[in-house]
Amino acid sequence: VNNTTVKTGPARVDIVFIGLAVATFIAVLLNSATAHDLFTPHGAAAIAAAIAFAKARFVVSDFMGLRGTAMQWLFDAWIVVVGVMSIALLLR
Amino acid sequence: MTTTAHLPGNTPVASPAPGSAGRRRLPAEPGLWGFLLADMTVFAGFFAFYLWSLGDSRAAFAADASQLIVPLGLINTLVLLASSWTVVRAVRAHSAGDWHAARTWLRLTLVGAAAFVVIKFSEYGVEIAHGHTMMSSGFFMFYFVLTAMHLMHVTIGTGLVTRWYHSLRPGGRPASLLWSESAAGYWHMVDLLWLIIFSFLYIGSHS
Repeated sequence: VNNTTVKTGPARVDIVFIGLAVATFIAVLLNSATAHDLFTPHGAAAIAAAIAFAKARFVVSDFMGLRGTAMQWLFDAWIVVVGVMSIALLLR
Repeated sequence: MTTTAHLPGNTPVASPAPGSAGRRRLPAEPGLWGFLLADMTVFAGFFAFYLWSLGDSRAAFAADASQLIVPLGLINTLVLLASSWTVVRAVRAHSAGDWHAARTWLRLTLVGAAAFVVIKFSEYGVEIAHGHTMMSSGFFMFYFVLTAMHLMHVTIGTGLVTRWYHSLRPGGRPASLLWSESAAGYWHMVDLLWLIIFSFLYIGSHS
């Protein structure tokens, strides 16, 4: 039997979840006519992709629990490399 | 506020579970993360292929993408995000030895997984009824391949979560914390991949 102390109370992960949901709605708005008045279509697609990869970063750090661990930089590198590649291809 | 918990049969925990502040311990087995990165990189190859093809046929892809039912994709995104959040809660309850709470969170996760699958198949049905199949266009080939690959991962993740859930039944032998964190990590990867797929297919292809 092991004794473990676990902190409870307001959790960062709850705020992250709400933030991710809000970011999803914002990204969908990039499909609207208003957004297409503000951005070029390619630009809107690139912004939506940037939002998606930023969300992925929060999933890695806060949901997977890799924030502050040795594995975080590998996942961060994946997000940066694949994100930059994707945005470059969307702007092509 | 802090609580003291007993973890019968589990690996000693030196730091709080995912979702808590100040952790440094790597959750799950180290090898799992390498496997997940490799799996994600396979998807990255498909993403690159898709985006390259999108750049070559913008007008055709945009016309086909406009046939997708964005609200269904949005609902599924929110469902997966919520299920990822409930899995984090389940891991925290599991690490605290609160099997009842962990089962409750996992039950919600499984409801989310089922909702995702039902919505996805409903969407497939609508698309196919409108004559959109893997063979009908380049966009829909990518749509069906990417979403079906992802759906396969949802199925595997659901199996892992289900096994975890059953291990916590009254009188059962609870899964180890490392095992539960591994199942959770896989489920979060499923969520992460969908966030990107949703962005590319349902939003980025309309330009």
